[in-house]
Amino acid sequence: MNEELNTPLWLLSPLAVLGGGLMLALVIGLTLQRFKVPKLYGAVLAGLILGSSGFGLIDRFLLTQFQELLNAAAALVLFEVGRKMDLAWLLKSGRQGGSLLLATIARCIAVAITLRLFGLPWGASIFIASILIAVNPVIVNSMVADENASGTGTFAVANMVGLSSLVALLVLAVTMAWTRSHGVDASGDFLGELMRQGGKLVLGAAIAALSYGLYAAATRLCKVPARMRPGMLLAALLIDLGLCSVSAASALLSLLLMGVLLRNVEKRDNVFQAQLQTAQDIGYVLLFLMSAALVDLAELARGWTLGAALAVFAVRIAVTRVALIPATAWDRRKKHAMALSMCSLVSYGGLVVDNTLNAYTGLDPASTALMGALLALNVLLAPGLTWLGLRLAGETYQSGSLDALPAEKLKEAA
Amino acid sequence: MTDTVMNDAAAAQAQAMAGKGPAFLPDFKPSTLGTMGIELELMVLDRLTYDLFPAAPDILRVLDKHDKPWVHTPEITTSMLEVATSILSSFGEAREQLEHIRSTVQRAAFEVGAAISGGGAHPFQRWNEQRIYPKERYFESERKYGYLAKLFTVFGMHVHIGAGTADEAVRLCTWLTQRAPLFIALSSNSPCWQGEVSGFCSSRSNVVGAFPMSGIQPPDLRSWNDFRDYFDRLAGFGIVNSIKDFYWDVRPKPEYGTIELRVLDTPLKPVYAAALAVYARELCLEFADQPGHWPTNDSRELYTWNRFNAARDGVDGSWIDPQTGTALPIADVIRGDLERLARRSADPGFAQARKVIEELMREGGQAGLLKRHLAAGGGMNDLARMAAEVFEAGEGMKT
Repeated sequence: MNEELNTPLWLLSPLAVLGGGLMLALVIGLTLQRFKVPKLYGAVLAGLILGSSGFGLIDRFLLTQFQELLNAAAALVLFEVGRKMDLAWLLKSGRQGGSLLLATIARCIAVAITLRLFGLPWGASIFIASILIAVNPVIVNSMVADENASGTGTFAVANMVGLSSLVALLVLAVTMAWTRSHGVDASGDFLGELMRQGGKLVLGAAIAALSYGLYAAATRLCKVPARMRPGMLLAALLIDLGLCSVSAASALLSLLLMGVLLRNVEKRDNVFQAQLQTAQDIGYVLLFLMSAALVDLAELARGWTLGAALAVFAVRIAVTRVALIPATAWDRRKKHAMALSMCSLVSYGGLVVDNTLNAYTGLDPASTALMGALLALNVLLAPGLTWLGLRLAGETYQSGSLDALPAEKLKEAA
Repeated sequence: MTDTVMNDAAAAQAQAMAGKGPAFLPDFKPSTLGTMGIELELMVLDRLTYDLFPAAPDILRVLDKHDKPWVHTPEITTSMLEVATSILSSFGEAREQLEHIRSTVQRAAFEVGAAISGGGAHPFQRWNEQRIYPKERYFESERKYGYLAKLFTVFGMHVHIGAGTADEAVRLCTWLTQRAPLFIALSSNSPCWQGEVSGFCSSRSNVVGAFPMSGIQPPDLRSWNDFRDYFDRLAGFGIVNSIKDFYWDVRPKPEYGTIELRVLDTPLKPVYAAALAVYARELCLEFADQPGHWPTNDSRELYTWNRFNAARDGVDGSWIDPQTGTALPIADVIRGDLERLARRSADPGFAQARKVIEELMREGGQAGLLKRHLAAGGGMNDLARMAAEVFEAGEGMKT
């Protein structure tokens, strides 16, 4: 039937290509894990092999066909981030919550200055810096799950992921309005753009409140225990996503807030106390595979972009570490570890769900090239550094600890 | 000179406990009869899921910065922490210091992002997910006991009572052992184990039995010399290395000059701990007023049966009086004890302690409260959350 085609039939199916990619990512990842290398590097290698840097089987065009799915996945990741935000702790823990907030602001300022020093225009520098406030939830959550990490450092990093995403979303609304009104493809006035971007956020927040209200009302109507309510939660999330989609509201903020509301408002018999189990590990691998597939390693070949990207990475880690100094709950080693674990960054597409996927076209060529290099470096470096941070904090754990010699563990603890 | 001898003894004891030195039993330190000390093993919980959370090392580090009369120490796994009062003499003093401990530990835990709870056993933790505290003594326990070390992630309250002399300590241990099941019943608050309703009011009580030196002090020991001979004999076989190897329900603690009642689930509220400690202390003072008097029936089988009943049925269970052989409701026995002790107690707070214990016997006690919450549809996570809230509220919450 397809004799005239040279391409195998399965390659014509985007779903089959993605499935093949996932299979390859898991095979490589699980093999690497046997050699104590983080499993997420399976997704990195599979992405590089199948993506733009390799055979080109997974490209922007193919991923565009999954746009709705990707948008939903990105929003659900943010929901997971929101549910790990402990507002009471962030607000009342004093120096701890304060140092995390300080870290988000310091990262923005330090990165903007660094980029300016590399010759980027102020507007582009601040725009990129506002994106780079955020810690990448896929990398952090995936590493935490792989390494079975648990402890006070991991708790703080999870809160930082939520806080940084929230701050980044808010700051990005302003910087995007500025870029769209003053950038290379400027199309409107700043105030008008600001109202548009702010409106998306406000609408997203309103939809979150509405969806949460529906969920809360439904649970009170039927009065079933928390363990029987995941279906209602899924329904509420679908309503939220759907309403955001038709109204062009910020689905990411909306889902993040849904997570925050469910975690912090619902006190008694909270559904999250029932430890929802999802297929999120697979989802993380898939999402990261797609990110890796879009990476063009050639972006790193140019000397200045590689240098600038490395400098930005180093500055973000250093500034985060400095911001943690006032905190009293963690020792020095844990603070070093946390700064490393917070090193990952998100793409534009990780904060703004629209048809542009990962790239934003309103930047000048130099800024675009640097952003590309940063994302490439993020895919290559961030999983490893995050993993290193979790190990340094001493909060990773493999079951069957008798396999490890106590003497080694003592050394590690020391 | 005396200090040097004491330091040497402490060092030898530490080496013996870590399994790094020869067996060592310190001399029994003279003490004031009827003084008290209370140790509580507390749960460290995740603030989202209320599962156990390995944050004890961080909490202990925050507590190191506090100047306080009580002490804090690690326990075998990193989701447990232990606090111990200073030497106490009355219910009022115990209540006040335990409340100070509660609020300080709770604040330190919050600072690092954790919650604290009382309770004898976490309702749904999995033993194999627990992490051994990075300290040689605990790794030695893991090497020696295998999975039992992690299975021992249970949370007890230990009451130390000043025994006066070494010989008297052995005698008081024997007497207090007979009434130990009453304390199991009163403190029972661990109706769930590894995610299941266990059918016991105190699931924790069944965990200790797996250890080879669990049980009770042999009833034929009648003096400290007998005890020392017994220790030397077992040490010769390599069975024990220090007093810590005796997982008895009541044991002498020579370095403190006390006897230690070890059967209680950590209460949900600190005030319960104060009341239970005072009850144990007053019983010991009563026994001490009958010098040279030993139990007439020291049957191990009877003790084991009484212990089983108390762990299963809590304050609604029955207890066979070893002296008369009569089965009696536990609550009646306790009320009888309290009435008798009230007539002789010199503690101005004893009447208050009695009221608290009366509260512990109402509607199935603490275990009854937790079971009712489960029956009303609360899940395991929610049960752990509720227990943490009761602890957090201190004396401010009616249960």
